[in-house]
Amino acid sequence: MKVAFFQRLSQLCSLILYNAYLAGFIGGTIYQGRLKLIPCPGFNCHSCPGALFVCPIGALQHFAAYGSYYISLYIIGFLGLLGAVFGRFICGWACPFGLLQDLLNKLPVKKISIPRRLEYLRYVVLVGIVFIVAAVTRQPWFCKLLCPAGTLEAGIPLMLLNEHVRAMIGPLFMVKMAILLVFLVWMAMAKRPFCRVVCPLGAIYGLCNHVSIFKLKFNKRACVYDASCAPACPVDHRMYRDDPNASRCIRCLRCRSVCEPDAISVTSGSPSDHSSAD
Amino acid sequence: MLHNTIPSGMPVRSYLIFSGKTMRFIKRHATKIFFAAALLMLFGGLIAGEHNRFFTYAIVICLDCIGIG
Repeated sequence: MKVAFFQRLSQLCSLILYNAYLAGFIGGTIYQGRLKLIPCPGFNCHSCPGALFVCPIGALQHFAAYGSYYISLYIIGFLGLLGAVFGRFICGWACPFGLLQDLLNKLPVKKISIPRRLEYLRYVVLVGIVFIVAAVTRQPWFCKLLCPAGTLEAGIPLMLLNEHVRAMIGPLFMVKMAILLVFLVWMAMAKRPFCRVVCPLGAIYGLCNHVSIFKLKFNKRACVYDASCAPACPVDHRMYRDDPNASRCIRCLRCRSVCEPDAISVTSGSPSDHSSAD
Repeated sequence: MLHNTIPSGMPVRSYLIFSGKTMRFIKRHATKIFFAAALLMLFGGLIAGEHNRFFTYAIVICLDCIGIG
């Protein structure tokens, strides 16, 4: 399981890289340097005491709620550029919140599956909550209410480390804690529920999966259809049945490591060249 | 006599835009077109100074994110 080891290592490195400002964890403050000009490729709250980069969804929300025009070209361009090269590869390899979900899912509790139709909800969250509701109400409701990363990475550490923050805690924090708890339980029971159902960043990268340079190719003739890739997949994607470059696939490549040689390969290029199975 | 639809009923303008040749071109060059559009947006945002606006927002503790705002 070499791929699994390298994927876990990459996720861990991304967690450390995105949150490398250790002084924040000591003083209960946040990083205020120039790196905060750069959006974070993965899902990581910029109010985390260690965060070096700005959260792209938080920035999009901020722009939709308070900006003079509603869509940030800078953030969409940055995410589009990453998506054009990697697609959802970032979700699989460089997202700290993905790491948390993968680890929680290893807990020995009853497992449940997520209905496929529910996965479309992430587009509703992206368009509806991140853009439209934020623009209409002039409030970043995704960050304010729904985002469990903000509560886990910023809310809890700052509450413990910063007495001013602790003094301001009210009912909204309790609501956010309850939402976080629901997500944590769901993560233990289902495979990557946040990525599949809620994550607006995953929705953006998922839309890029079809046009990205990094692509997967499935070879029907090499596959023996024993579904050996099914238990290995962290998002319940079936490479032998579904589109190899579907928006659901996070390109962790675990299926490739357990599958027959040459059945799943990594390619590059336009969709016309590689999207269909041979 | 001028017709504004082709025999199948599709408007001429749509037919010209979504003709096989155009769609094949878009499909073949989708990655490059997407990449170029993203790059253009990124530089557009940089020229507009959006990154500075995010900077002032990102260097203070976001009360919304932590559940206080």
